[in-house]
Amino acid sequence: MSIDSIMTAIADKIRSLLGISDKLGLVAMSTNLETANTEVATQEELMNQIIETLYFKSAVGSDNFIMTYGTGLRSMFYNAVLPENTEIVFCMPNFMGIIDSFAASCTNLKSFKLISSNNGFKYNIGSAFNECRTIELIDFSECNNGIINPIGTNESRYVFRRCNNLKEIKGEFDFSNLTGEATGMFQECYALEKITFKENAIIKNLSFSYSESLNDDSIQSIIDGLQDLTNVTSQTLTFHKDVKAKLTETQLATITSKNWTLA
Amino acid sequence: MKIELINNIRVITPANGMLLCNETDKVLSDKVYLGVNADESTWTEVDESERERIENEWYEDHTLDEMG
Repeated sequence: MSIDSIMTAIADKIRSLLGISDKLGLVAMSTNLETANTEVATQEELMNQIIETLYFKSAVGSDNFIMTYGTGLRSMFYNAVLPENTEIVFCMPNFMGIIDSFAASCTNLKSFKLISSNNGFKYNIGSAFNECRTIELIDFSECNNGIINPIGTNESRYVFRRCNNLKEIKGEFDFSNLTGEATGMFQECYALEKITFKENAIIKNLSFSYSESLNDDSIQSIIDGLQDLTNVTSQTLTFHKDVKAKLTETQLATITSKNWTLA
Repeated sequence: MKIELINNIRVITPANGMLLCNETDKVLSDKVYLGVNADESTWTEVDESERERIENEWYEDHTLDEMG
């Protein structure tokens, strides 16, 4: 039994359990599983093991829990049409940070959580949730010790673009490896309230110009996340005008003294 | 636009009905607080009618293939 036929069987199983359309990108999943659990004696045993651990508690509105031995979720729900209010938890012991385009242009995904005991990797997260307009909660707090550390130059610039209903991202962002443009990352995140940054881990221009509902803790976390740039080129932090209007004098001084321009 | 020192911070305020624009960083703003060593000359004034055109240029729709 080939890996391709195993993947086809898994894809059919997921489609039937979720009742979703055939727009389900599993091409990369095949690649990921080639590097998975090598202790399984035969491919047939591998298939049985994976099928047994595909566990859906119930239908729409409750947790859908998927356990996979793959290392990534590249394009898995790209352009997929899911049941309304789908909430999914992935448990992936071998996850290695590959999640680019995971739910780009996905419809009806309401929340996503990733659980993995694996850590020490960097996220390849380019466009992972780009135009995933229904998502409200993204939870990476139980993966990679809760650190969300994207790599790359411009690959990450659209990660949460047009997540119009996104309210919270759980986990702590570390942008110290993000050398490219990130100003579009939170474009049109109108509902964003909660986000957390590691201290001194923001090094390039960053914009929350659409996010008027950021709570006070999140605002302070962003400010504390700005790296001191007094000896290098100034960068720009952009807030929504209503958020900017309520910053204290201390916060303004902190931002500008670190050679960040506040727009 | 005017640039003034407020609480030791250089603050740029546009004229009435105008916005501040930084083409390099692709930022539009109603008010800018400059970093201690930031270059104020990177900011210009634009009017509201130019805002949509500018934003459309900066944030044109990108297909997934383009974004990679």
